[in-house]
Amino acid sequence: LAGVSGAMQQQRTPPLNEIYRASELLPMLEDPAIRDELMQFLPEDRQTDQELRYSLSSPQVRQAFAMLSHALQSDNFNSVMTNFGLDPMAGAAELQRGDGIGAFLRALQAKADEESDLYD
Amino acid sequence: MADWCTIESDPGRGAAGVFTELIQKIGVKNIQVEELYSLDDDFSDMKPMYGLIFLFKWRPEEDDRPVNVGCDEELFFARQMITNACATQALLSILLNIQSDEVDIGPSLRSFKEFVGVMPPDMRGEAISNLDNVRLAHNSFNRPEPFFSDKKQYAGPDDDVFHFIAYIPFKNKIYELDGLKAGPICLGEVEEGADWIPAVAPHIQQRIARYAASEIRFNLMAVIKDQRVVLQDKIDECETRTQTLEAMLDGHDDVTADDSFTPVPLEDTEGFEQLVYSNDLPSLKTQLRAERVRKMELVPTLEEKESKFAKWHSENIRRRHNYIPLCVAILKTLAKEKRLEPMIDDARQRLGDRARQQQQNKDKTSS
Repeated sequence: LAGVSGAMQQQRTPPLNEIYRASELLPMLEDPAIRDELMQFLPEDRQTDQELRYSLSSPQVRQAFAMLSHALQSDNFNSVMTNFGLDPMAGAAELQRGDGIGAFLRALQAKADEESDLYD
Repeated sequence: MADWCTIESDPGRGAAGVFTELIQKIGVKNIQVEELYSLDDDFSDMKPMYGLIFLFKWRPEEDDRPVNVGCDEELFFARQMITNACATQALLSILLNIQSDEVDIGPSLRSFKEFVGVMPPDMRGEAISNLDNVRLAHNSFNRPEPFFSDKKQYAGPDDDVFHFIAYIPFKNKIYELDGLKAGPICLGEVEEGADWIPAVAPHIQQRIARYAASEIRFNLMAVIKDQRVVLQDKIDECETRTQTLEAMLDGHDDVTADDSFTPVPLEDTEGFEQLVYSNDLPSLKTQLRAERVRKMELVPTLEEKESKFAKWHSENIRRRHNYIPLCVAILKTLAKEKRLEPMIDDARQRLGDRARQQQQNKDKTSS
């Protein structure tokens, strides 16, 4: 990744539950567009501001991040990528090193950049 | 045979809330499950208690207690024939043996009880697998497994396997119902109308002591009347009494309450009737004061229960929800806001620091 030394780059990407910090996300919830975007992924009859704030640091979300990390380092890698419409080519270098999480995040960043360009 | 999933059974993770909703989904009315932390407490609030569920991490154990095969044809006992269904099986063992007319177990359990009436325990166990609405209710509490591979999940030697057994009072006897045994185990007798908890407590306490000593996780739950219904009934009774007393004391503002009079308790319907007939105004005034205090105490207790049930409901909804898509959406948001890469670097840094710290500690202890 940009600005990281060569030696660091060789390391595997840490699990998602280590990367994710709810404190990073909370200030972003001031933006109603972000709030609406995330809220649709809550249980159907629990799509409220309050539930969203709770969920961001809930045990369920921590557990899901751990499960996702686990899946990305298993045979399920391809099905996760397909499921979320991510291009495995974007993270080919990471994947070659056996860094499934790194490959997933790289592809996710690529998709995010693409979508941002689209709306800008 | 249709599959039964493993549901929440890990002790201390909201099992009471799961079972309460499970019972409601099966069509049983006005029954709930409550977790107990000790058998020494005062359970007068929880009466009537229809049965106890003891859940523990299973391990092979010798048990030479005699089982009572065919002890009482009316007692429902089923061998456990379905993997993963032992939680539901323990619940059924209690629900199908409730003798009280107060409890409505619903049409599907009623016809099931009739259907399995004359069957031997293993066939009853098989019959549970055909109870479609129970299986659907049971399976609706499945934890989401978004990345299920085709391989079936079987418990390996290191996995936690939890087992559930039920304790019930039945026709003046106490039984332990364990689906892995050939039949029910009779633990003793209780007198007609007597509380069965003191009689069963030593048996459960023995088990608790044994498991606590070997650090086996366990927990204990009671199947009781829905506490919200119990409290609402009390509040209603309190209000009816208040209205009666207010009517009788109407126009008697000058009467002073008789402080030496002990107010009639809520359960004592007869005593209250006698008081009303006595028309002893100072006593009636004392009683009215007591009813008002009682209601002031009952209302917040009911509110507490209501919010506990609401919390259980939220937890159950969350338990069943798949949070992976939210996680991906979170990461994508962070990516769009250009926060993802710095966070990855932070995590690397933290993990590196932690590893170095651990190495240093290791070096210190080894030098």
